[in-house]
Amino acid sequence: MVTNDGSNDRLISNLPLRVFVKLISGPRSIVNPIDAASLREKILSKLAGAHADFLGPSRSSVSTIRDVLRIPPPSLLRILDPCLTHAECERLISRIHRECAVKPHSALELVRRTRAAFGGDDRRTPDADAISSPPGGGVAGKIPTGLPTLDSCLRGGIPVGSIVELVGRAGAGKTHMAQQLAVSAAMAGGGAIYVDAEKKMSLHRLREIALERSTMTSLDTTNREEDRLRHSDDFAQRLLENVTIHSLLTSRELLDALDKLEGEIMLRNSEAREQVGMNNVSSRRLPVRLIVVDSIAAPLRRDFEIGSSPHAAARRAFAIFQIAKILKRLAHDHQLAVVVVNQVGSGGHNYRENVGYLRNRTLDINDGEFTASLGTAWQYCATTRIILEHKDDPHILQGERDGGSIRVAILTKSLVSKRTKIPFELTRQGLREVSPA
Amino acid sequence: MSHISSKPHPEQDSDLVDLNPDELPSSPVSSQPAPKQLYPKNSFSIPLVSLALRPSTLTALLRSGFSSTGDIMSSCWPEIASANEDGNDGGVGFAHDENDGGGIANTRINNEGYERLAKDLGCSLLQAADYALEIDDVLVSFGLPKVSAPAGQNGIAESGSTDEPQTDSDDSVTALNRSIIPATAATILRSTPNVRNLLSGNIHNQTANTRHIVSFSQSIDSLLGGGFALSELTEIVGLPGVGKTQLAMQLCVDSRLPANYGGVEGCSVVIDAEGSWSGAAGGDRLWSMAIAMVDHVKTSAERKIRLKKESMHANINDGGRHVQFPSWLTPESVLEGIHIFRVHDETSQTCTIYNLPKFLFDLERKGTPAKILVIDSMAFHYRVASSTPSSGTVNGKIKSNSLSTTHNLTRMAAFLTELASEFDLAVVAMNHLTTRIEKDDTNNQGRLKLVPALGESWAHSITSRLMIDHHCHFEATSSIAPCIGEMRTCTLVKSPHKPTGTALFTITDKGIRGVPSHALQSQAAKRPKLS
Repeated sequence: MVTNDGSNDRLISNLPLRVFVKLISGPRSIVNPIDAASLREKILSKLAGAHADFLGPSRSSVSTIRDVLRIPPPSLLRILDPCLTHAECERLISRIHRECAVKPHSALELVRRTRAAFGGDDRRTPDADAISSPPGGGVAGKIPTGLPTLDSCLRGGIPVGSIVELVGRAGAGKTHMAQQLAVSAAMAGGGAIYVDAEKKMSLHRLREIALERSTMTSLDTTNREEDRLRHSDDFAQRLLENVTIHSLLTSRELLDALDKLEGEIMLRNSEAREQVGMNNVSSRRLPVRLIVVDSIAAPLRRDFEIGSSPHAAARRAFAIFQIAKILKRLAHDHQLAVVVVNQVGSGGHNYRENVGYLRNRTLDINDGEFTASLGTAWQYCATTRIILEHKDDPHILQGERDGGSIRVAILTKSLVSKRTKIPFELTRQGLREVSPA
Repeated sequence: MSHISSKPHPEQDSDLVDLNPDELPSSPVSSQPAPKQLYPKNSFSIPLVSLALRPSTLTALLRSGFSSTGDIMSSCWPEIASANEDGNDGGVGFAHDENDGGGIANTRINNEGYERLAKDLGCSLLQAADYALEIDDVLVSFGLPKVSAPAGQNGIAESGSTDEPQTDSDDSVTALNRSIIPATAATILRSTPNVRNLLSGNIHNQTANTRHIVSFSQSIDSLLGGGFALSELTEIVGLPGVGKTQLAMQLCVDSRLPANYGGVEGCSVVIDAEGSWSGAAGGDRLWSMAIAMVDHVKTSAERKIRLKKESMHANINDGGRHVQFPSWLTPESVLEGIHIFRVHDETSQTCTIYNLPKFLFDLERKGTPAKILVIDSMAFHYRVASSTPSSGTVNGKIKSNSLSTTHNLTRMAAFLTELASEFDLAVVAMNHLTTRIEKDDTNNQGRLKLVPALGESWAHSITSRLMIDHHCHFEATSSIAPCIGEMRTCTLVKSPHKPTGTALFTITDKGIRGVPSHALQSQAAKRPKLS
């Protein structure tokens, strides 16, 4: 039901010729010159026909590099007989290592690259603009959430290059926050991709948030009503042009959609670059800066019934890791922020008892009554976690302000901040922070 | 794959007669005993089945009756067998220098030998030469004399790749070259600088040879006996969000500490498998930690200078040298010394790790040696691989998949240990916790238990293991609550040097720090329940 492990892996047939050049030594190569291409063909065909019983019953041939690297050296010698001697086998393996190794970057380079990708000045020290950001956004590498305290804790907003998880009970405001982030991304000059697995995305609401928020910011620049309206209308239009929505239901569809995302991102980014080159007026096409997956829990819980078979948990964990792998790579390669929405399950008490004292405070919702779904596997994949809950504290005045009640956003897992609680409410303009009463 | 020469230079002892190949301590993996034969003096003979030969070569040789290298030698070069009676070192006149750029073209001397071999085997001359050279390669890689040039020509253990006519210089770097010299424990201990200082009563004199990387939390450092040790493989395991990456970031920043301040002045290499270091959040965190570290060093330098001045010591110049603030220590230079490899899948991770020796060599050559290698995290890609469901039956067919994973992990652990000792760096690997169902005796329903991932075999290969967890307590509303909220426990569960124990530390915006003493006192009063 879910894609198998080998489909994303590199094929040996894609190895360049230089790995095979001068691999063979001795009299064989001198008198009977074996050129690299024919040697490669021989090796590939031998590997393809290899009976690799250590790869598992479902795999019958060695076609990806990962499989080759898994073969113990004596077996490799046996499989490739008589193409290569032992020493030549080792040389081949070390050349494959060299070929597939990644290039390093220093931490300074990475920081500068993030800022450069956002068009910022990369010579400024990163902490110069780490404090609270203006509502329009503009901190390099961050997408503001619209809650000033949360943004200052996060040094500007949701960071690019890693996965942020939004988790909470039903109705806590996760989809609202996701939509607000899409608007913030547009204000910061970036487009968004919305993967909607719950059919909860409301274009109407998105447009409303966009209109409201752009009106808010343009209050500074102009006082004329018509100008403001026109400006915000223009902005809302641009936003909607730069948000693509993928609707799906099953986990299979989710994986397929994620596989195709890279092509879409590159296409949109190149279009945006072309437009900027042509005229310096604000272009209609914005590069992609945000991916929202709303939600990851719905398709996985739908397709994997935990408890139905002993391996359901393993299969679900496998699917989770596949998804996380793709998302992380997209986030890193294209410098975008990835926000994933998760649901909760009510396994709080049992979970705690069974695992003894090892409680994970970053997952407790409503003081441990609930816990985030998708298990231990998913917890490792998110770099930042924000829990959204209703604030049930009776001491806080729960007024009906603009149709919303007081909620709390808790930043529980973050590299740059400690655990922080930010109360907020849902208004027409989206999420708005309230000061604790 | 490393070339480990598992035995010393072969002894050319004239007392060795009647050499039974079974009793040779040096032959690798001997599976079947070879028939006992009287070999000429001054020569070794290895059974062919114990060499790493191609199966076709082996069958061809065995079929023609050759079962050991001695057979080949005596068939090709019977003069040697007879010449050795005078106790002469054989091989006269058969100096076959591979580096001559020759193959067949240069071996007119050896043609006779190969012709005889070809006749015995019933194959062509080229084929025979090929076989002989293959055997030579394998023998040389184990430090044994060649069949084509026995005794005295090439005794030193060399890696096989340096033998080929056109040496690819890059290949030879990846083979770690070493010979094992036996040493007594006393000599090793004497050569360790720290112990030397201790023995001579010179504890405060920390010149260049610190053997630990500090973590800025004294309790962790004393738990580990000074910090994270160089030349060792340490593992950090814990639930997500507990602070493993933070601790590793602190270590990378601290590895840049100057020697005067208890540091090792080295670079760091990070294998980033989860993306925490390469994103915007990671960059921010490293930056703030670097700034805090530089500030810390600056203030301590200023304080030392002030103290020296106040004490009005005579040789104030001498004091100045020790407390001089190194001008190269800036946050930018700290971040520049952290080399991050972002690996997206298991293949990249494996290949990058095995390709590290070259990178580390380059760093050493440039004068900025790496002192810490962080793998964050080891478990992520392996869990992707090992949780692969097989499309076959449900009946635990995952076994064959995990066997190869275990094998790979063991090999990688051995490689990392080698790297650690070869390049004298601290290797820190992060691990995940995974749920395992423990079968209870009383009831069928197993209890869920959180255990470190990656299996038993990996657990044996690491030197020390640290488990990090949130500090179990209730939310206090007093003024010390802000720091308690971020307290963590760090438990040493496996170590060859120190007893197991637990340390407390906090995570502040400056990085990893110790717990303030007033918080510790109040905690002691409340007696928190730790495992």
